[in-house]
Amino acid sequence: MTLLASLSRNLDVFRSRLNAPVNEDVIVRRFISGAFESAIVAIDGMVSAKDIDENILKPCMDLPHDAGGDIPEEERIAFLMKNAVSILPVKTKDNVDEILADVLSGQCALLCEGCTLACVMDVRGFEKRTIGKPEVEHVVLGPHESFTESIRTNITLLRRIVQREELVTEFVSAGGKMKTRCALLYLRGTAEEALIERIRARIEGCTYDFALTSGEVEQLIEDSPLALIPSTIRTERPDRAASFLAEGQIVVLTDGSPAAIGAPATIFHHLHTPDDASMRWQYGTYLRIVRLIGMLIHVFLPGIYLAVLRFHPELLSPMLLTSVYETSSRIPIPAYTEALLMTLAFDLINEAGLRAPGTMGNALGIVSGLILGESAVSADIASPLLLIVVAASGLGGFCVPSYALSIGLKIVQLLFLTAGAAGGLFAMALLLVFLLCAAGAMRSVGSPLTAPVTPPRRANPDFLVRLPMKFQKARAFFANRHDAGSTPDEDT
Amino acid sequence: MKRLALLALLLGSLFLLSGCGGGQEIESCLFVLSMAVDPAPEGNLTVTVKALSGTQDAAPSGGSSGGASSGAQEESGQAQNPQSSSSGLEASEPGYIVLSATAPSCLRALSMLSATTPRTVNLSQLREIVLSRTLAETDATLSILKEIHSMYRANGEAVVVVTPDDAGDFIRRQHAILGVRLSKYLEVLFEHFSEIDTIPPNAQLASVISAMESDTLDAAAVYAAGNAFDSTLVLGDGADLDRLPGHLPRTSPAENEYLGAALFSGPRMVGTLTGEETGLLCLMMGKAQRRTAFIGNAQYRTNLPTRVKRTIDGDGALHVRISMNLTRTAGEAEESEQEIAASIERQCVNVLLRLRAASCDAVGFGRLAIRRCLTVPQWEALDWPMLYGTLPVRVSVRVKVL
Amino acid sequence: MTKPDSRVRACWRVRGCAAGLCVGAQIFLLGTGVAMPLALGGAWIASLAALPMAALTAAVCRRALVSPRRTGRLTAALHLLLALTLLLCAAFALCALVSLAGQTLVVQARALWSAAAALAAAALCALTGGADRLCFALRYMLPALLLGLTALRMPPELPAGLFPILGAGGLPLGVAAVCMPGAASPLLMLLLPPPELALAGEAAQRCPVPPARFFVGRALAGAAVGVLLLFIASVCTTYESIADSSEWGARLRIALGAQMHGSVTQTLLTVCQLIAIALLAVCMLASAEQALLRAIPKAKKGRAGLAALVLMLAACMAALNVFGSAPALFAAPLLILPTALLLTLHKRMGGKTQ
Repeated sequence: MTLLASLSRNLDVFRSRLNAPVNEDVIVRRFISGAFESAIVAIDGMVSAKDIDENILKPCMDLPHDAGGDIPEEERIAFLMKNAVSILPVKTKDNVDEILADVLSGQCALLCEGCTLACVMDVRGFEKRTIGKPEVEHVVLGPHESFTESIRTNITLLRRIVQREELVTEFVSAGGKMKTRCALLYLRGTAEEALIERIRARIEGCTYDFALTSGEVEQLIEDSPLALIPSTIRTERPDRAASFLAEGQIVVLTDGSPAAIGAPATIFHHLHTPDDASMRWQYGTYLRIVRLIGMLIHVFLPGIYLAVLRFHPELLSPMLLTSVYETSSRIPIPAYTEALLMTLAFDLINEAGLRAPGTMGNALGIVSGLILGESAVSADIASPLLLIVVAASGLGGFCVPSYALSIGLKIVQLLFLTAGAAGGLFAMALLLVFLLCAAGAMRSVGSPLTAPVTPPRRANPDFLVRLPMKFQKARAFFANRHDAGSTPDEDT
Repeated sequence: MKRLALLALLLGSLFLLSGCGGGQEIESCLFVLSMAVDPAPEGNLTVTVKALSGTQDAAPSGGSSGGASSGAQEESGQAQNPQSSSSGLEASEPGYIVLSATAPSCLRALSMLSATTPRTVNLSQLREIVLSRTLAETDATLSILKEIHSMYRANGEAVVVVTPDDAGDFIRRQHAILGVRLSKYLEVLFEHFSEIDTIPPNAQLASVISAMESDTLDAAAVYAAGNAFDSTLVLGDGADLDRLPGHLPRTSPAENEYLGAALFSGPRMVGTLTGEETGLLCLMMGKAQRRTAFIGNAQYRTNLPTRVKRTIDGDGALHVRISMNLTRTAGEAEESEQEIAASIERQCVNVLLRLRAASCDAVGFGRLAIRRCLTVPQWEALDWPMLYGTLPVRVSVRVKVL
Repeated sequence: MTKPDSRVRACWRVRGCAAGLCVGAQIFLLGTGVAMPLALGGAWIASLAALPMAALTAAVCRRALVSPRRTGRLTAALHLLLALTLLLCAAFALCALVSLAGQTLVVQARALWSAAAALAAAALCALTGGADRLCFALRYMLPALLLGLTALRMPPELPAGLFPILGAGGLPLGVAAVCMPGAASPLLMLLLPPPELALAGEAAQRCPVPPARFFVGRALAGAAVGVLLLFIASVCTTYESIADSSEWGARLRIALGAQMHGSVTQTLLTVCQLIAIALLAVCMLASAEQALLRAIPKAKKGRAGLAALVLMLAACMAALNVFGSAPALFAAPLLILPTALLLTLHKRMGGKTQ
């Protein structure tokens, strides 16, 4: 539906659509601007009243009474934009739905009598959080800024780092009835056009009523939302998002979410931290190995413990076996139930620690670790060795840099626990083969998740061993090569 | 569709959690550390085991649990070993329990123990298997050991021990006099005796079974006995360990002495070696670890590895060449290098002759002889066990005192 | 090289590595199952007969790939035969998997349970379609682990099982050598192009197939590892023990030293063996499905083809559970017959789409 020439009728449409006067948030302000009448439509609290007063209302109302009287009615908006309005980002639109969407997002619409165009101005003035430190992705070296909920601020944070003319920001909307504004950022010439098109289509093709958070938008982008491992990478750090852009990935920002999504991604993106690039190669490599060991302990240790106890006690040394034998004789529940309970208890403590208010959260660790753990052993509900296994496994889980991957691995840990209890190392081996086959078949926006290891792709020596910068010469495999005119192909 | 198929497969796989995987809670197992097999009347066997009890309290031990042999009553396999179960209950050391059962075969005895304990007998932590000498001198040894190893998946590194005493009493006397755990005590015990070369090197269960089945090598198990110290047996000359177990002039809370080797020819025990002779056997096998030697009134140490080469010479003689470097560390050297070498040669030749007389190829000359044959039929046609007893033996020792 | 070329070549590398791993595993299985009871310690010598067959199969398969693709009943029948041959290889591998597991890791489990677990895992892996890529990822790690773990525990002196070198002698060795070429049958998967190429664009499908030495090299590398492992398995066991062991699983186990059951190294080695055999089974099953879909395109709907193959596999496993592993061991060398037929008629199958 387009705007009409009559200002009154236009305002009636807006009032009707915005449920005014019942909806008291709606501001409709009529005024005389020179020789004709004008009006602004905005949402109270979303706009900066000061900007509207000083840059729109005052200049328009200060125009001489005959100003604009000799110009065609259709050009009245253009006249005001040139002679009165002093707001920087302005657009003209004639579609009522688009104007309404902009007004709802915090912009202000200026309409004139007799003109079928409206001027939409960005005068957003709502309260927003200041730039703080990352909550999840802590680093020792490297920057300490994180994204906020404002998409404009986030784009600004990225542009401060990636100061290149090729950096393109495209706005798309996700959701059917309640549209969420998303921004696709990429380096033209580096990111593959086919990937950009694919991501754009997936976001705009959302058939749900709404997709409010970056997590929901991520599920729109993913190839296999049922998989345990995430196939895109999320970050709350602008420096990391900038590195994604430089590698040829597309970064998706969601208005209202302090996280950026990088796609396509590989499994290795989840295992690397920004610290690795900031350190010398020896330190980064060593820490990666430590993290990998932690991850393996997290996934396999409880399952191996159960498998050895139930199927392969010959692997235990006699002294250790004697100790386990004596304690197990007093535990009234089967080993699998015991292990499951302790693992879930650990996760409960984790979750409770996240949700508990600040002052209680600190004490929670002491309460749970010392008192509950010791009490469980004294009450013969859990064996000391199992507690050590669960604790070591939990510590290993905290070594996983990606929060999303750590949750996925937690579920994988439970699967291995069950397999170890049901079939020992045999069942664990079969499960491992299955999970690795599934991971090998996974794709991230069409690119293989386990590339460049398998299938082989051109890549820098940066998987486990991170060689110095002078060896990191190749662009990522999903980026365009140096020949900018090449036709992109479907990834195989 | 693919997801439905995946879901169907995953749901169908749930039945695999039904418990047919064979897993057992650890407390439902009876972990045996020591096992003894004695002959019982009427062709039966008495199996005595020492196992973890799971508590720190001294547990009462039962003899002949079950009483009747498994299977038919008319077999009258009910005879109990009189030495083992006279009281029925005796306090064992804390943390361990001793049980025994009598049956026509080892397997059935272990099954009876499983049924009556009631726990599943698990031999994966077995540290020693003690056979009475009477039993070892029969052909039944191999089948007993194979049953234990393959059917019950016994620990292949468990040491096979032969004793002239009652084997059940032997393991009842076995206590951890140093440290807390019997398993660690036994582990360190065998390690130590291996290091000083008083027990044969390949006395583990799997190695003994393999040697008993093989034509190229004969088994040598550990020989052990309870101490029967008699002061009249303290001999003035000769090496201190040149005697059989049970005759060492010493006192200790540990009654059992492990010293020497029980020689086998095929599945049957055919002789013994003293501790010193076992050391020479280890030397000729190239497995000697002993670093210190007393020769005359001097103490010598071998710092460099001793080179040993075994060959079958052109004239068919079984030849062992030994090259040793010794450093005198204490005492006055009374013998020259040649005299020391000649002495060692004499002793080695004596050992080889004893082995040959007993038809026991514990040194492994058969492993050299088989290399000359291209195929198994050729080797079998050679009839090595017969040939071995006729071949001359030769030892050449070169000693260099640094 | 343009991007489509390099990516297509990567697909072929993955396929080639998977085929190499499969043939190595098959040589080990056939060697322990058939050659060792016949030739005793000389089984590894008999397995050398599989190497030229592996090279020939790889070269002939490559020729089929560059031939124009044909359709017709004969081609469909050949693809069905191919599917059946690969399915039998999968059944053989699963039987070996269950046998080895039953002798080592899950002794107390029921054979039917182990078979069901193995079959379910194989079906799930084939459903995902990532087995080839997993083989490529493990192409160095798996052989290195297998060989490294054995090297760690080998005794310093010459192994007792090395002699007599020719094992049971001339005739048994000859019979074993005649049986071994059947181990090259997994390489028939190279008659089928990688599944990703079917989904790729025009540019990818026009890319050339790598030369014959590309496939032959990978096949021979895998086969060499299989022969080496068979050699180690033979020499670690005396000929008397081989002659005595009637269980296939006992021969599959590479026994390192006296501590056979409780050693961590031994257990790790067994797990690596199980993974290699599982990968063989999965790759064969996935390739069998691909061949079946070429013969009967309608079977793609609802993964009906895979379902049918899994049911046939289940029937095979049930039969083996009843009759023992003897039928599998008897049938395995006979795989040379369909292999020879398919290689003879390879030009009827073709690979390139035009």
